[in-house]
Amino acid sequence: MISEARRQKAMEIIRGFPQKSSAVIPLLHLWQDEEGYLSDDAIAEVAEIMGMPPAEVQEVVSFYSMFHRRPLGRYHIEVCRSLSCALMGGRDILDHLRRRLGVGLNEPTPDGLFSVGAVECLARCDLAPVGQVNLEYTDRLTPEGVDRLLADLRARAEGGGAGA
Amino acid sequence: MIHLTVDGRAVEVPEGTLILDAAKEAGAEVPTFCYHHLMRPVAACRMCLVEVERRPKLEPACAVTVAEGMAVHTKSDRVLAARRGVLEFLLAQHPLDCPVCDKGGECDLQDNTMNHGRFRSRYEDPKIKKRKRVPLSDLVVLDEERCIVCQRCTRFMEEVVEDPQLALRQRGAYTAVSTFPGRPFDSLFSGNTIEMCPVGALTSRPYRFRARPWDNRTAESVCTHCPVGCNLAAQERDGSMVRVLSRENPDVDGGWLCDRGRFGYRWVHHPRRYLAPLGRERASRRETPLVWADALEQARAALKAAGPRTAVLGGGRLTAEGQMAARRLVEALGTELVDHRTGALRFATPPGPRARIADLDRADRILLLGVVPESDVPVLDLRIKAALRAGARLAVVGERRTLGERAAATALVPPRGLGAAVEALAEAVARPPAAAGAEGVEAVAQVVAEGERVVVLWSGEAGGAALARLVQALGERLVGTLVTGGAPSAQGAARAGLERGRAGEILAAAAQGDVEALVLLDDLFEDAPDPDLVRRALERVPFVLALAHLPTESAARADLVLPLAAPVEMSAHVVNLEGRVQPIAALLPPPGEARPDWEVLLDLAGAVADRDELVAAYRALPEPAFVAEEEEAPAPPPPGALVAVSGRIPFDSGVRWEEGLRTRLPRPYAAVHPDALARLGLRPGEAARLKGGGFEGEVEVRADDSLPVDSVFLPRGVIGLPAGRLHGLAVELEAVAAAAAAGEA
Amino acid sequence: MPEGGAATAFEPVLFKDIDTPELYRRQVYEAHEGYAALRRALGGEGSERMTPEAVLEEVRVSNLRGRGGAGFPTARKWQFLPPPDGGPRYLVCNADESEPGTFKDHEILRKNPHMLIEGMILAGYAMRATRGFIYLRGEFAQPKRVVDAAIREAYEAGYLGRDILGSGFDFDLSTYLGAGAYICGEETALLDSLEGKRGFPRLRPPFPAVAGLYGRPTVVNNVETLANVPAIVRRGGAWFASLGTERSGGTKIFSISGRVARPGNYEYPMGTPLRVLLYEAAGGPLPGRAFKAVIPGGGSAGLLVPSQFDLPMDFEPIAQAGSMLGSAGVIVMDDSTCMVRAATWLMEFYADESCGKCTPCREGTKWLEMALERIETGRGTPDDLELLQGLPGQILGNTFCGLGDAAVGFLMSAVRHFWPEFEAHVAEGRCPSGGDGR
Ligand SMILES: Cc1cc2nc3c(=O)[nH]c(=O)nc-3n(C[C@H](O)[C@H](O)[C@H](O)COP(=O)(O)O)c2cc1C
Ligand code: SF4
Ligand code: FES
Repeated sequence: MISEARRQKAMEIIRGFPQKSSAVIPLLHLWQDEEGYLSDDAIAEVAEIMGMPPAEVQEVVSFYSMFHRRPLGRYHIEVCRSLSCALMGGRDILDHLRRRLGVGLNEPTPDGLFSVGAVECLARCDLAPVGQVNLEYTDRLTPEGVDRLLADLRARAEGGGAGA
Repeated sequence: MIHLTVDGRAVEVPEGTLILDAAKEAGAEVPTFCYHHLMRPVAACRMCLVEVERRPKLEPACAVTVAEGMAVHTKSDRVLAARRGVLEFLLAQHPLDCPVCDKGGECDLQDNTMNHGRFRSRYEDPKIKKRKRVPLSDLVVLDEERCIVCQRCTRFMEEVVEDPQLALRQRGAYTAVSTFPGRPFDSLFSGNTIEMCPVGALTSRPYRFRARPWDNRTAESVCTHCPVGCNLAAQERDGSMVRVLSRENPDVDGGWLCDRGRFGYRWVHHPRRYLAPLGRERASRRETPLVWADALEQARAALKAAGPRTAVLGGGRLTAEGQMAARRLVEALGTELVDHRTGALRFATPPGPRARIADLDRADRILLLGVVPESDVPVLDLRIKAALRAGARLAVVGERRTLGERAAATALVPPRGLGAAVEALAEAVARPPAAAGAEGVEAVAQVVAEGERVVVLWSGEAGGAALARLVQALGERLVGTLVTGGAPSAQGAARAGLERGRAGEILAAAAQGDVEALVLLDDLFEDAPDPDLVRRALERVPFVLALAHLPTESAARADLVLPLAAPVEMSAHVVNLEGRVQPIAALLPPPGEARPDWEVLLDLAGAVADRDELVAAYRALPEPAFVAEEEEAPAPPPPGALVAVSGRIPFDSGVRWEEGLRTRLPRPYAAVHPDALARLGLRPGEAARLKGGGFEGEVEVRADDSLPVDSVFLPRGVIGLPAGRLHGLAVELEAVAAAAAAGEA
Repeated sequence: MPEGGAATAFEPVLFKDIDTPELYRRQVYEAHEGYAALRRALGGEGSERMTPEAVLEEVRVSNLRGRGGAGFPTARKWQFLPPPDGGPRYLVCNADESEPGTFKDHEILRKNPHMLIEGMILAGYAMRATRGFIYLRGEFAQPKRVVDAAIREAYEAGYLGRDILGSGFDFDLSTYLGAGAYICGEETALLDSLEGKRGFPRLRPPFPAVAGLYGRPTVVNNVETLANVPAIVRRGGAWFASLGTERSGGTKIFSISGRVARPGNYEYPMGTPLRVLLYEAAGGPLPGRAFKAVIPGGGSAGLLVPSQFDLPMDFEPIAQAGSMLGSAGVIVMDDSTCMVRAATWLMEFYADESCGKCTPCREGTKWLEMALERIETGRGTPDDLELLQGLPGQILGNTFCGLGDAAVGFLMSAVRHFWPEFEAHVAEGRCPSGGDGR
């Protein structure tokens, strides 16, 4: 069931466009922001509000790399693997993180705290290697730096804080 | 006209022609995959790249139109290299499982590779794993690895059906066709995607592994499931019919088939087909096979004795030849107790001019009177959508909403309210235009009155006299009317004069003992407005003769059954709703001793004629004249009552004879508006008791927001549900549990 | 400056005040001539007010060319719009900035959003558009917040909305966040995405100018392109033209990244030699390293070798050298860089980002990615080398949109300039380039 508050928000988003169809990506962002990923139910809900067949909404979801169909870690850490960052060691950071956490890409750690993803050029190549934690940028990554980052995030999670 | 050269040959083609077609004109075959002549080009596969002088890049011939002085090369080294490149890329991820692929022998990828490819692929990496044998529905199965992402199927669902249940998933090399998880591909037009798929990615579940195309024999036939008469190619192998393909006729079907027509062919092999004449003893119900000579003698004797007290009912499913032969029989008997309109059809002939199907393409206004195209004439639903995309506007008067928001105006009328609504419409159209913001019939009138080329689709079930007045009011602006109601060849039956009385009155007379013999040319039950009356009539008439293929409820009650050949078992003609006479060719011999309808009817009439004579005689008949007839206004239902409305559905109980479609067999159901459902305290899917008009039975409840809140929709042609009889009557619907509790109290 | 040219003196346009604290706030922007151009064009009374044609004329004279990559003359693009028919017309700002090695738009959006907004209002006025969208790539959630706040401020100040500055001109503007797809930088795929679909490029014709967003006349322009418009209107097209070369007016932001001492965004006049950018701006190679190759225009461009460093950075000269100026994302590789590896990384990107619509790009990038990966990790065969020679030519020029050409641009140039390195990977099963290569 879609909460009334979210339905209201959705309606407001739809009203902001000259044509309703444009609202589907913003609505998917809204659902994913609140639920962490896009389940079949989430897609069916968005489809219902949009008056679109769910297959078409799924088509949109599966096309865009930032939409996730499975839950990720509470902190999803992504590292850029494109050329400028790779030239400055970005891919080593990625390997380092995966080794540290013992997970594959986009696969949460058993405690659900972390997941690691590879992303393409984030348009901050001057600060390579660049990454993001729950979509907030972080840059000039080093192996020691990401170890500290993991420790900080873990401490924050244990301290009951939320978000990145 | 545009002048250009293709491979040095000069051609002249109309402006706007695609290079692809201009090349064909010049005798150059350009290979394609994604292009489909019935859809907009997407230029995605890049197979059709050709060289155009003075343009830097190769151009997709499927999407670029000709220009004056253009010089096109379809066989230059650059073109051949690009073509081989595209093929090599397509084959890179392709499973190359042609030996076990259903499409083998009619696969564009196979053909294009033979004609344009290189034979050694350099691809040696492991292929991307995708899903194999994914059942999208009970009719269509998908092999993702074979898909070449031409998007024909998804574009068909989006562009033509306007119901994009199929969509792409993922991107890049992982792109695949997909439905939404857990939702089957549920479209009346799904089978077309199988035929359009250029490779073996979408295949037919009923056809799977049954045959290889080169083993199939084909006959050109016409679909007899509805009045459109779509052209099809029927195929058999080893005496067994294996599939149906479209045989595009732009004037009739526009290249499409609905799933009923495409998959509804296995009934001809049903084990209960009548193979020989059959005598039946009434009391004991004992059946005895007869030889034709004896059966015919018995029949002729009985009919002769009854003479003008013989009733002849049905005939809307006969071939044109059969309809002519039936006319001879009727003349020989001298009876007036004749009617093919055994269902809800009242007027087979429209007042004013008849329309042609292709007129829809040029119409600027389309008016539906009591017609739900998707159920009644499915392929016209696609044609209407195309017309609306091209700018026509749609106005609907009916008991159910149809085509949703595509309709510019809809007047929802109460059950049996069609006649009055058409009357009001005729009046409103004749008046000066009403102010803007009108609703209902007034809004419909506004849409229609602005038209210059109006095409009307009419159920023919009510409102004849009113429509005659509307026709007059529209005058020159009316292109014509198509009558969609009745049996598939009702128009032929009407033209052959198989309507001399009223089926309802004839049955009533029969039930009273005023009829001595009854010839059944159709099953009377499936469409009957009053099955009880049919039952009583059949019991009372001393001699009932049925011409039939299968033990329908009527045939199973006849004293004598004469077995008929199915349409694919004879060469003859059938008539569609435009009155078009279309030939069908025999694919298979009739089973056992079954015979073509016209032969049997000529024998019964004691007449002699050959097929050509019958068709010639049919064609020589004048168009039947419209007979105006005032209808009695229905008694207004008690206020607040739920009133039943009945209508056709795409898959009715006829599918019980279809092995491939049996999962579509409908159970009796009743649909009501969601608000009404809530008011009744019912949930969709729940069982409920339906009561009214002396009927009481259990139905499944469905929600349907195309209905007015005070209507209950009951599907016609569903065994166990007398939808026709309840039409227009107040009914009650209550939860089974509640009914049980009330019973106990 | 051992190898670089003389320090270049010029007036910056886009980065004039870029490091002013809180420039993203309207008052700060206004204190630096912000919205002066808009006031001049729309706010003046009666005859002083510039007509849309006058604004367009300044842009035409300015020789402003699209900064999104293709360098198409901006005024000419606006002129393609059919005459107004009373229906909506759209101006869409392409803030997708996904080209590898390009990060200039990000800086403008983050630090000086009002400059873009002012540019869009002026452009909208010139082309009589009624509504603007800023399409940001999905990863730009942070810049989106900055731009959204700036748009709100602009509405409050009456720069957006109805009857802007009493001119009778109405213009609405909002942002739109994508969701991760490089192809959505291609303008027709962007429009599909903005309409809520997967980002598939569209068949042309019809061109967006005739049937774009929602089938209505639409212009798509890059962030940097539009951000130049206020200065052009304020100081005149002729002034802007004089900053650049004969064919390309103004300055350009060069995003320099990779193996250089001082990576960053640098504004220089159009036509500045690559060498100046590499040495004067970016401080030359990393200590102890030597430049090996440079991509001048983002991941989609072919590479240039040190002997070509004196080329002026302008569309035609770079194209003539077999590469392209593109987005002017300058990616620098030095003697530690394995060219096979660089080619593999880039091919991974394009295989990942291919939309899947057309055969050569969908299948070809994946196949090349696999062949390159084998070669790079020492498992390649002579057959794989043959693929590198053959497959790119089967893609180039044959794909539906520019992504296919982009995907093979670097590889083809690397094969041309560094073929022995590819051969050595196969022959020796390892990288011969030393450095920190594997
Ligand atoms: C594959 C591909 C990716 C592109 N990505 C971008 C991009 O990220 N940003 C951009 O401004 N233009 C991009 N473009 C160019 C746009 O299609 C378009 O030409 C540009 O937005 C026009 O703006 P301009 O005239 O101001 O340059 C891309 C083109 C292609 C073919
Ligand atoms: S080149 Fe083809 S597959 Fe690649 S992005 Fe363009 S249309 Fe899509
Ligand atoms: S047939 Fe022309 S691109 Fe596919």
